[in-house]
Amino acid sequence: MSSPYAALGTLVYLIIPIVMLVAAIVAHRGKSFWATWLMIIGSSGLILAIALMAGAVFFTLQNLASSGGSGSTASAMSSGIIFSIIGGLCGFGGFLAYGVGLIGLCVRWGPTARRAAELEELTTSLISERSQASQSSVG
Amino acid sequence: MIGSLIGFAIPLGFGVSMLTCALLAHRGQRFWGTWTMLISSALAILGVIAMVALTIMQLNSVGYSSSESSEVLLALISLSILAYACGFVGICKRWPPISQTADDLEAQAAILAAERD
Repeated sequence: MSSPYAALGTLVYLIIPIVMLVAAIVAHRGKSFWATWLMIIGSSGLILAIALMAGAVFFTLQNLASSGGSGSTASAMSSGIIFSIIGGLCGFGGFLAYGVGLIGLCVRWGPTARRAAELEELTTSLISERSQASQSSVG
Repeated sequence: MIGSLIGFAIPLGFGVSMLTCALLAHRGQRFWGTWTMLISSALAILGVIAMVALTIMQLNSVGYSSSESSEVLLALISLSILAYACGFVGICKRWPPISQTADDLEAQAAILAAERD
């Protein structure tokens, strides 16, 4: 890490997928539909991508250490490269899936919240109408 | 120069889609989560625009080094995305009761309307 700012940026990008997964699980527990499924799959893909990238670094370092200069660097890095490619694909797919899910949830959030507010007013007015009608019939 | 500027199109597009989502959510119901999403997405877009400006300045002036400023901007963008994610957690936390309330009230309103008729 060259500076504390770069370290902060890296740390934040490690935390964000976990926060994203928490948000997806919370939304999915309430009412599940295609967007919440996509968010769960996307955030899981991102976490898997981070794990694969960490695995790539680990395997590369392990292979380089075990080869001890006798083997070629390319063979030592081959498993790391495979992990990196799979991780990159997982990360890209997860990112796209989460983005589509985020848009889907936000698109549905607006009308649902408005409908809840309107129906709350309508229910209140219907209840007050009914109570007035019952009072007048008693009177 | 054009190539490096095209590279900023992806984060800029991502920032715009973040802002669109925040606006969509904010139109539905305003609370701290939607405000956080709006402010953080605006900050992220501003950060990316500042990065573009910094890159143009770097490319135009020979020997001008601004790695410290780039890192500060990168940290700002990262924190903005984290704040956006926290705001989105707020929305997701409020989503179950809102959707449940909408469903319950819809059924209740239908019953009350039928009773009135």
